[in-house]
Amino acid sequence: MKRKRFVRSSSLVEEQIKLEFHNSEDLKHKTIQLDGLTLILLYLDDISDRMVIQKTILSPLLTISKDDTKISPTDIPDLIPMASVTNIEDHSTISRHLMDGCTVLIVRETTDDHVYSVKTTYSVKRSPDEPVNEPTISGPRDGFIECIQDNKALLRTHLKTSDLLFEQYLVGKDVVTSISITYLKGKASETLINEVRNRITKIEVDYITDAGVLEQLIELNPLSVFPELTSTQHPTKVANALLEGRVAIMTDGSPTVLVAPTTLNMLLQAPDDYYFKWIPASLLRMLSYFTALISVLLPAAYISLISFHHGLIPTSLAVSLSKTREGVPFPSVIEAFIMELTIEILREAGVRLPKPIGSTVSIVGAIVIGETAVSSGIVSPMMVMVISFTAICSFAIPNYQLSLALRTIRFFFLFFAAMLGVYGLLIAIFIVTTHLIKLRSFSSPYMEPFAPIHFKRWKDSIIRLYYRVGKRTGI
Amino acid sequence: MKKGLLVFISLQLLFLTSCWDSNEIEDLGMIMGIGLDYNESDEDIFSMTNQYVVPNNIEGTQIGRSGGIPYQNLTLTGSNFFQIIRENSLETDRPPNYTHLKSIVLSEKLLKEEPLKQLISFFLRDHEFRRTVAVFITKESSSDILAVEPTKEMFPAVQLKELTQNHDRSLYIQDTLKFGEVSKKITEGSSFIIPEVGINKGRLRLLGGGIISNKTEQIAGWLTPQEIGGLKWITNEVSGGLVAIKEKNSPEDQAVLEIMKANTTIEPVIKGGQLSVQLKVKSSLRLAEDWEIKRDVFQEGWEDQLKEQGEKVVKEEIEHVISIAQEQKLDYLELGMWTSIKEPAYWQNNHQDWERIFAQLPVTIDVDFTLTGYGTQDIN
Repeated sequence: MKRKRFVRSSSLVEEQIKLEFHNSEDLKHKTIQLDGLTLILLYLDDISDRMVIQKTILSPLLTISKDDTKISPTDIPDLIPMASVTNIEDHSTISRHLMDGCTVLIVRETTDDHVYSVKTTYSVKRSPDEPVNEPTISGPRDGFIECIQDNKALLRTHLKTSDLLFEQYLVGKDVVTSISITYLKGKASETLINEVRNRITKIEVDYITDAGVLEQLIELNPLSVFPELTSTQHPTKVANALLEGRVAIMTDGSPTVLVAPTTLNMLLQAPDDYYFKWIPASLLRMLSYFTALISVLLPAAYISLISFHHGLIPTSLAVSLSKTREGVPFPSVIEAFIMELTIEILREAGVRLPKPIGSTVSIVGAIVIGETAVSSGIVSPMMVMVISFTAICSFAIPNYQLSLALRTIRFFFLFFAAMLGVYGLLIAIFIVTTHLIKLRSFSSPYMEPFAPIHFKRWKDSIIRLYYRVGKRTGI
Repeated sequence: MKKGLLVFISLQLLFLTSCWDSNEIEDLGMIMGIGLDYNESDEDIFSMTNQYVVPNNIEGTQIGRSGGIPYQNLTLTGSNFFQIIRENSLETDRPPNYTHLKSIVLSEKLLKEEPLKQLISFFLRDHEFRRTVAVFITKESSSDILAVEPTKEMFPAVQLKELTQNHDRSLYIQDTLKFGEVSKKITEGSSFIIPEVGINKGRLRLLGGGIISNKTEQIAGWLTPQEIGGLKWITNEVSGGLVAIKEKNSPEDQAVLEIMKANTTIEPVIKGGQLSVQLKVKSSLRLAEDWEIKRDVFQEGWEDQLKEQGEKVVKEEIEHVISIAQEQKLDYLELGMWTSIKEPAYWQNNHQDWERIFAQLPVTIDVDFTLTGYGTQDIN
């Protein structure tokens, strides 16, 4: 569908607009005669605040008019001082202003039209609650919401600096979404900002529904499972990233903000790491690296040990394993696939079900998998332990996108381990590591600071070193 | 498109392997111990006992499983060991797997008839046998040893190996002789001692050791547990145990010293072309048990008499072992090794003649004890 161009013709401006909106009922139209001028108010009923229109536009105009002698159309903005008024030169943008919830004021002096847009937005929005998928223990608990203006405001409260800049871009042919590139002037490098600008201006789509879609549109490696941008709903996370010289991309209508460039290290960090003392915080950091490794490697390693390299298992464990696997009908590979699949299904079911019924899934899961499957001899208890420990480890990963990627990769590893044992597992590790090292996120290496190696930056990687007084950059 | 085809083909290479070499753990016949025996019969001169794990009989927390004997000893005969192992498949559905092997028991009769080198040839060549497997010798038949019901462990073979782990508790226990060490000793061409195991009232018991001669690689004699103690003093392997002293005053009175630390150094000395060896034993001990009423540990010099007597006891033990070894002309005391390390020039010229030199080698023994205390309390 091609966007209709506003063609200036002999007919009146308001009639043209009405036509563009297909004479929609919620497009309201009021005409006021004022001292020889015709004032026409146009607004969309549902997203414009009627009280604001009354207070900021109508009442000043109606009270002042009687005393004054002569009102020029250019005086109108001064007569309604409380409102933010913009002069619309290009009449084709009128409809966009209307859709933003502005009231369009057409001042007509005989045939000469002056068009102003007055901000009277009324919108339905929720409060900036803590994001559901990124809970924190300490630190700020606010979260981004669906309104970009409010998100900008939230970011401003976290970063009170004049260097914070927002650049607005409009993306989409059918439905226009405003996207804002956010960065700290002086911190973020110009080349990075230019790259983000380039990628955003290159997007040609009909519409963007969410930041998640935008993320996939500006990624360069669509075949990789790893997220090229960090998506977060936490203003503090974004603020920290901006302070590190990264660029944030906000999307109107989405509570998710994208941060670029992203490294694997960054995805394994939680905001809490910075609020605790450095020794426990470092241990937590190591824990999240450990859980990431476990959640990828454990089932594969278990399979390769149990069906290929029995000699590597300690004897007493090998003996008890062969006892617990006695009578299990499937080879361990099939068993692992069945269990992995069950866990994934349970997890998805838990997400989709409404909260009151959600507990049913956990009960059914615990009883069906934990008890019945083992006691009926379909799966071995050790396999249940391995798979559930893996699942728990993947829950502990701070970033959901990463956790999703690792869940996918786990099956890849499982496949290789099932075919060639530890040798296959090593092949898979080589493949994934090579891919990770090759991966770039907005021209910066994904595995930084590990590859390329920057020992000085390791103080905020596997460990989080203490802060030092007198140092300019905090972390 | 071509690239896609290439990826597809190389992936097929992987998929077509389809669980290459995969072997589920429950399908394995895990073997914990093997025993080798010699048969008097003409054709099948060897018999081999394999101790299989029977996982189903292992008692666990799961209900509904009755605990039988968790192992099965399968004794088969043949003229070589590889053949016997393959013959196992005629009787057991699970192929034997030796990666978890714990102990190998050799019978005396076997080592009298066949040299050790040839006996273990198969086990050294095969990759499944670890070099950490414990080796034992027995005067009984080795299948009997593996049939002794273990008291605390699940498998006799495991109990056997664990017994030698107590070498820091008793002077009479030789440290585990690993399979790898046997191969090392044979390659070196030196004599060595294999720990002996026997049956005492239906229980496994570690006895002394069997001497393997470097000339014939067969059994050349036996050492009693006491002699093993003396040997451990010489080879610097003492890491615990006790020294019991008979008091002069009355036969019942005795003092027992616990060995805390011990260190032996062997110093070959050449004087006028003649080799002699200085053996220095340094040990710190603690008074562990005391039957002497008159002793007052709060008086200075209380330990002098004990120290002297203890040193004498150990010195006698060492001298006894040296005299046995010299009589047999078998250097399992590692004196030759120390000479070759410290006096390489002398060793170079005389090592062919070592057997004769060793038999007449003068050894000076110097034992030095330090008594560090009398324990937590003295009530005399």
